Amino acid sequence: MSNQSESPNPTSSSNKITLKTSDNEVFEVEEAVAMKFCTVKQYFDDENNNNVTSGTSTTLIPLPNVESHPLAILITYCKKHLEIKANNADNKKEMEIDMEHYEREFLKNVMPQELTELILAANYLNFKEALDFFCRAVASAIQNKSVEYVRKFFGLESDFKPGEEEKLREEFAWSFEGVDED
Amino acid sequence: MAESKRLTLSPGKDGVVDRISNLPESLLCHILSFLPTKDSIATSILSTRWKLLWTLVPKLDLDSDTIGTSELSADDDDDEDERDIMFAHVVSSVLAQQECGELQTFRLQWKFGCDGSHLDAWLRTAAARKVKELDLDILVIDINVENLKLPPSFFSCRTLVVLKLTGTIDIDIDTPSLSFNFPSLKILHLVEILFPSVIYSQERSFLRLLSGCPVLEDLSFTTDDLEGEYKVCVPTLKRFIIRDLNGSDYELEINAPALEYFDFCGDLRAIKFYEKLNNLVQANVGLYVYENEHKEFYRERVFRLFTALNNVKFLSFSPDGTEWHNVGNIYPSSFQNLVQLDFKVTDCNWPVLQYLLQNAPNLESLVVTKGYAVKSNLCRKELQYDRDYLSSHLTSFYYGGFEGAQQHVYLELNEVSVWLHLHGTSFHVYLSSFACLCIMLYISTTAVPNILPLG
Repeated sequence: MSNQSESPNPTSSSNKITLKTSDNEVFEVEEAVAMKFCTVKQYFDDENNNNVTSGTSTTLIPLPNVESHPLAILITYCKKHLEIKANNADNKKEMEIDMEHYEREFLKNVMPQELTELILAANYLNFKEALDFFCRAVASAIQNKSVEYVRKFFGLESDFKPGEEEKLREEFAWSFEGVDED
Repeated sequence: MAESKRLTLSPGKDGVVDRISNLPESLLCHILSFLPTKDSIATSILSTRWKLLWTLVPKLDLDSDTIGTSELSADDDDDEDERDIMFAHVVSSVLAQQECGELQTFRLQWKFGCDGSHLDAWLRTAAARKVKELDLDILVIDINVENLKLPPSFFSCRTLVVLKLTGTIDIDIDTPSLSFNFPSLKILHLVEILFPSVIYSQERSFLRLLSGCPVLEDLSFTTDDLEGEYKVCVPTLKRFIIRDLNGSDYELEINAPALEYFDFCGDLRAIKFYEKLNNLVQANVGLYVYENEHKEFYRERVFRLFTALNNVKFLSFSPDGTEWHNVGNIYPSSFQNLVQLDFKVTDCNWPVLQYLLQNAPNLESLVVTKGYAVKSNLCRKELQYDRDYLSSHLTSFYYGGFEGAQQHVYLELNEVSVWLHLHGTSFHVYLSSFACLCIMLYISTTAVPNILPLG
């Protein structure tokens, strides 16, 4: 794999866009990266349209609902995503293999506790690939697992009235069969 | 998919994923949409918050192999019947309890012995709920039970984008009154689907099927009972995969100018192109030529095929059968775009590889592996090698799959000649692009004929 992180998308201009998070951190990112965040793209396009006549362009975009920690992770993910795409422009299969490999390694460095804020940030930024990726990661982690395991994983306790849980367990008995050992 | 994507998340130190349950309903449903319905429903007893979340997920994905397995033994007929009934009940009740209105995905894997009559009602429900993706994998176990037929009303499901049908399902739409209309369908996969046994009816069903899909981009089919002649004329088609299992007796005349990916495995007689595929990027082709075929016939066919594939960038080619040794140099013009060639070599197709190499001036990566062994004495020919034809861009060469035999591979790198003596089965060489002028192979096994490098 060649190291081309400097220019993930060779066709785009290397304009920088500045993002300001809720905890007042400032990130300067490539336009190609920022445009993957549809919320940013929308803001950027609107700004540009408004400024066509005056000729000025504000490139500081405030993100009041995103903290710096998840944003930094999403930017890293996005850069790599664009790079893998550019490196395998013709070969979808190779691209998927590279992407899967990267995502597997990526998750090793993500604490389960970070997932909630990552999902919220990806959702707010409307960055679909990342949103699907993190949601899929949560889904895979609970697939074929016992109710007790999933409760522990999500950090929640049953708040059913006595007897209600048993009733549900009986109604959907087929869905609790054959789960993995915890 | 789910298996390969299985990720290594586990509860953190104190055994919790902070607040995930506090995510908005829509995001929790999005997480559930990546799970089979069985797992999605199992979350209903996590807590009251989760009790009804699964009913909002616009997806039904059920597999009869994972349901009702623990209580009943597999080989008892009564139990089989009971499992059928139970599965049918599960599907019906899931559909009835869902609150999500429109249905994104309806996916069913169902092996059953007695009663498939419910399917009709489910498909009607799915169509009424504007299903976008339908994936049915049906296997009728009891040979006395009639194959499934899709309800006629389903053949005009206007919302459908993806349709995948696998198994014992009859496709018979040769009824004049039947309107057939999938205006949104982009992906159509038919795997071992049964067409009508009368050829005339079969041809008409197939053609009506295709002509009812005006925006089709991805067509894939595997069949072993297709007969007759067909014109596949789909201007929007980008991916086309045909798998011919038992040497079916059919001929496809393909007119798909937008094709980017072509994957065919079968008899050379089965496919026919008339035009060059200008947008083609990748092709995987496994071709069989019968011995009794007239030489001129397959020369012409091979010529037409390679003319169509001439723009390809990534080519995987596996020519089978004994006739390839005397196909000769009939390739239309050089493959200017070809950068990667994956070739399955046999006793008889060695010359084909050589001609391809001589006609690929921009080749960067070459993979040579062993094809299906054919016993033959026909191919002991010495070949003329002209190094000027070989790509000067070749940077990667993989050679492998020849088990057991000792192999000598001769590499001529610019002015330095290197002999590799191999006892193993494969090797991989990265060649610096400036150093590599040509590669020649001399392999002292019975699997590959005498080809002497130019001295």
